[in-house]
Amino acid sequence: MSPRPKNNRTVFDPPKFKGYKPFGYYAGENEPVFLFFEEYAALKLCDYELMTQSQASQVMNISRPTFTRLYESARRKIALALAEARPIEVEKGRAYFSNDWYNCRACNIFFTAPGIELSSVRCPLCQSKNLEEITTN
Amino acid sequence: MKTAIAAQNSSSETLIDKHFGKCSYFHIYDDESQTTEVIDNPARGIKGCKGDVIVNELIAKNVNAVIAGDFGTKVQQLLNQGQIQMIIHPDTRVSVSEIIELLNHKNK
Repeated sequence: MSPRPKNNRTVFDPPKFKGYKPFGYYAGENEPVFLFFEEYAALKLCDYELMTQSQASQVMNISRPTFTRLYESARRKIALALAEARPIEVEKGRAYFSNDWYNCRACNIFFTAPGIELSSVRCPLCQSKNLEEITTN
Repeated sequence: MKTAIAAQNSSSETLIDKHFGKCSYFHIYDDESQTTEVIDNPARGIKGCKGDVIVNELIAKNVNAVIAGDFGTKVQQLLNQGQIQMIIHPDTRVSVSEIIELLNHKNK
């Protein structure tokens, strides 16, 4: 029997970085730890926005036990990266964005474009079309 | 189009605020008349969830886009429902006047 498919985790805003690197560590570069978007989101909801795990699980549309597992996995990955001086890279995983985000490569801002067609989206500050789409698919 | 910028104080040289809900003032820039209106954060002093108070005020002022360093999760849901564009500016060392200058360029 195949395992039950995982539900998508709703994520609101994308992380504002591509990853983290240890500094002051000169023994060459280690294998990166891949942190999923939803793990970053779980950590942010719990420890930055100070929600309880059950509130945060409702925000992400998953059950409370699933949230706890996700949060634990986020903590373990970050602890692993710190303990072994490994860089962290963020990866999409099973994150579902509640709205489409764009990242302007020129001025490095993130924005949404409600009600605008994909082909005519431009950066609201510099009008550049050099955008990276951070969407569900 | 009106853009609300979350700011740390009421002067135009102030820096943008790193958190939408907790900012002190909103600078509402209208790019048609090229004027800026400064309003107090209507939710200042409220503890806990401030999002609905602010979003209702901004909708009443016909704001189409908001700029801040970061948005909370609950306020993002409300702004989505109101079809308001969110702009996250991770570099919070930028001043309100610099943002207004950038917004101005798009008319030219």
